[in-house]
Parts: sequence; C-alpha cells; structure tokens
Amino acid sequence: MKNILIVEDNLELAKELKTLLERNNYSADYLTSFENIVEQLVEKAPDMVLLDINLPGADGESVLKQYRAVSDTPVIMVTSRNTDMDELLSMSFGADDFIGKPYNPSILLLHIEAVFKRIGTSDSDDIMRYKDIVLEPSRGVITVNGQSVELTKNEMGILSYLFRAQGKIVSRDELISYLWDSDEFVDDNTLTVNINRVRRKLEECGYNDIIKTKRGQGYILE
Amino acid sequence: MKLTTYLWNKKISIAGTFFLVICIYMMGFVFKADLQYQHALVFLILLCGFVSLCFDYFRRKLFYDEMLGILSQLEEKYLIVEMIDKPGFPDGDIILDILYESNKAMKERINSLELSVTEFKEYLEMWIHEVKVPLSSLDLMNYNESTDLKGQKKQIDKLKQYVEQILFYARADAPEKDYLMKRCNLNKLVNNVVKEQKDLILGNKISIVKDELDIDVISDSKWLEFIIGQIVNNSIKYIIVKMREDKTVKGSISFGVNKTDEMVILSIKDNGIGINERDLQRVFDKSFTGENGRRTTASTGMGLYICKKLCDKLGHIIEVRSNEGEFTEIKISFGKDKYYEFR
Repeated sequence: MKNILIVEDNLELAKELKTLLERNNYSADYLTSFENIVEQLVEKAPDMVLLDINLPGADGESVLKQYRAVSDTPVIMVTSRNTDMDELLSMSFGADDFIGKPYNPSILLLHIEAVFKRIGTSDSDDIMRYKDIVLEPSRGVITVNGQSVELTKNEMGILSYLFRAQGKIVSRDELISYLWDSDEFVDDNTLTVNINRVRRKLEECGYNDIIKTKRGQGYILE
Repeated sequence: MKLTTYLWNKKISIAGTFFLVICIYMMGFVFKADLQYQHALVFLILLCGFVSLCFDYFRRKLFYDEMLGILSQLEEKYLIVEMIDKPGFPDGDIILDILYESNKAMKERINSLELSVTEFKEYLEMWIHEVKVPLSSLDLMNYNESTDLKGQKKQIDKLKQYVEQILFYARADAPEKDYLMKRCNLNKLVNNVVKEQKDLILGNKISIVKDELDIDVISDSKWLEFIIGQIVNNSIKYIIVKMREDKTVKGSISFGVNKTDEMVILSIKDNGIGINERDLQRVFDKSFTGENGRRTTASTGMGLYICKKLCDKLGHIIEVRSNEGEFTEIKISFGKDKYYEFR
C-alpha cells in the first residue's frame, strides 16, 4: 500500500484528506508540527507528499526546493494559491503535479493515481481479474482463455468500474459520474448502448449475462 | 517672495546693467565725450532698469503671495488653480496652464479609481448577500442533521463558485503579473469545466455535445477555465429555467471550434431560454441582469461582465448571439500567435 504524507497546516482538512486517502486504499499520515519540515519528510520517507504552499513559518516552495535536493519522492502541491504563475513556480522547483483548492476529491485521487502511474510505481496494477476474465485497461482489451476482445474507452471504463466494485451494486448515476471524471461525457442513452455492447462482447467470450440488471438500482457483476 | 531671492535670481540682468554702465564710462573716456552727458545717460539707464525691476518684482510678488496665501487657507490644496487669475506674465501663465492640465489629469485618474472602488464595494455587498444563501442552507441542514449529501454538495458547489467569481473579479483589476500566456488545450479546459460542474449538469440531465476540440490556443489556462466555467454555468441556469417551463425540453450544451486563418473560435451553445434582442447588447455590462435575470433568482449580472473584462485583458474577443426561446451562443475568438505556430 502506498504511503502518502500530508503537509497541511489546517489540521481538520488534513484529517479529512487522510480519511479520503485511506478510504481509497492508500495509507496516509499528516504532519502536526511545521518545524524542520524537510527533516520530518526525510525521516518518514513516504511514497508521495501532498504539500500546501502556505505553511506557518515556511514557504511550501522553498520546502520543496530543499526536499528536492535530498529526495526524488513525488510531490503534489495542493494549494489555494492557484494562479498559473504559482503552478509554474512549483513545477520549476520540481513538483510532480499541482492542484488548486478547493479541489474535487475524485479529481485529487485521479491526479495522485496519475502521478504514481507516470513514475511507474502504481501498485493498483492495471490488470484486473474476475473469474477467468483478465482486464487490461492500458491496452484496452479483455482476455478470456487466450482469446482477446478489444473494448472502446467507454466500455473499458464501465467494465473496470464494475470489476473494481466486484459483488456490489453499481448505480447508473455512479457509472455516468465515473465516466465523466475520465472525460467521457456520456448521457443516459449512451450508457445503455455501451452496457449492451459490453454484454455482447462478454458473450463472445462465453460469459452470458455476467452483468446483471438490478431494476431501479443498477448493475452488478455476477 | 523675498526681495533678496528675487534680486539673486536677476543677478545676470543686474550685472549686465553694471557692465553697460562701465562700458559707457570707458567709451566716454576713449571718445572724450562730455562727462555730464555720460552721467545723464547712466542715470537714465539705471532709472529704467530700476523701474522695470521694481515693476516686475511687485507683479510677481503680488501673484505669488496671493497664491501662497490662498494655498495656506485652502483645505483642499488641489483647488488652487480654480482660485487664481492668470498673472499676465509668460512664465506665470505657463506654470498655471501646466498646473491646470496636470490637475485635470489627476482628477480624471481619481475619478476612475473612485468609480472602481465603489463598483467593488457594491459588488462585494451583493456578493456577501449571495454567499449567505448557501451558507444558511448548509447551516440549516447541519442543524437538522440532514443526510442529504447531494443537497449539501450542491450548496458547497455554489459557495465554491461564488468564491471563484470574486477572486477573478479582483484579478481582473489587478496588475498584469497575475496571468501567464501559454499554450492551453481547449479540449482539456472544457473537460475540466464540465467535470467541475458535473453534479449540476448530470443532476439536471443536460447532455454535453463536444466537437473535435483538440486545439491549442494562447491564453492563461486558469483565467480561460474560469471564463468557460461562467458561460457553462449561465447555460445550465437558463436551460433549467426553460426545462421548468416546458417539461419536454431536453437540455444540451454543445462546444465547437472554428478555425480561420487568423483566429481560433470556441463556441459554446445551449438550448436554454435565449436572450431577447433588447438585452443582447447589454449582457456584458456590469450588474446587467435583463429580463432573464428576473426569471431566475441566482442572477447577479456579474458573470459575463467579469468574463468580458478578463477577455479584454487576455486579448480575446467575446461575442454573444441568441434567438429568444431557442438558443444562446457565446463565441470566444483567440488570435493565432504566429510565433507559436511557427515553432
């Protein structure tokens, strides 16, 4: 499990962030004192740092600069100072990403995942399995007993969401919302069409009716 | 004005006069002129010099003493030019003209600053009232221990938007350092905006139609994202009004790009209630809400005004086209930067 360290002087916000991250399969911790931040960072040796720019007694940018001198750990700047200039400055000091407050939690999670993916240490290893079905989002294919079928981006999104929620009912709203977060602005009808296509493709692989419709509730993988 | 200062100032003319006197005596000596005649000549010259000096001195003294006197009595010193008559000697006239012009320029500058300060105050006051609405809803929800998370999210989104808006309002007036022109991908910006307002769009079953938007323009990404966000938010607002009046309507917002030789034009079109012809030219005016503003409660008339201001700063052209009851289309034109294109 990836360990993320939160450097944020508003402790309530830091606590909530910790909860959010823990709910999403990261282990998280936050700093409570803001003296010798860099030393604390080095000591805790996290897999990623979420760093606020406005800190008591220190400037996030200079903390970043010092930290970069001793470590390559990915750093995401999380801040309410969100002009392009701040972003440029942070990036030039070696931040891996930059998110302005107030941020959308799911977008923050996507950014974190993207950074891990980019540096190649993502342990939410792309490949997902269910029964004999192997799902590879990065290649856009599912494979069953050596037989591969290609999926479109929407279909892949739907299926991977269902895979991840194995055994739980997924509502249509949830699916649409998830697809929107990954830049696919589908509407109700498109979702129906896409679900049917996924079903047909799964049938090709010999899995009839694996996606069950729960009337008035959504879909479930069975 | 002190006499000594004045005389010191006139030292060259005085020295000149004495030089002239010496010359007369020397020439008189050389040409063996009558001494009486020389004395008379010198006396005349000195008399003329003295009289003109006195006249000049008292004219100036009168003028400047009056000016200083008025100045010391005046509460608002800058009004001095209004109280003084032209002295009638050239340098005084010139100084007075200069004072008058510079005063005028300063007054204009102060006026425009005053205007923007009152504008800001008015906006701030209105903004505070606006912001209190979602705050009190949340307060109530909290009090009632509401579990309606979606409802709370809606209010929080509203708060977020108001905060964004006032930030950009302040920025629109701030010095240029706040923005950074660089390549921005329109597709990415539009995606961000749509995602940001996801709940509102999905909650009202509005569909998003996107043409191929994968084009870079030169702009400040944060500012442009805000501008597009405001436009989309307006679209949503007026689609909701239309849907409330006619249940069969299905709301949609479409994004498109038009490329010409010199321009990239982003168009954002909705099938909301549209804007009537009378109001159309004034939608970018400050605090203008028009007829549509009266049909929805959440209209402050600031969104498009700020957009226009930001666009002006960034050098983009923002235009609106509409048919009442059918559609509203906002177009933002970006100049193509030859330098960037070339690379």
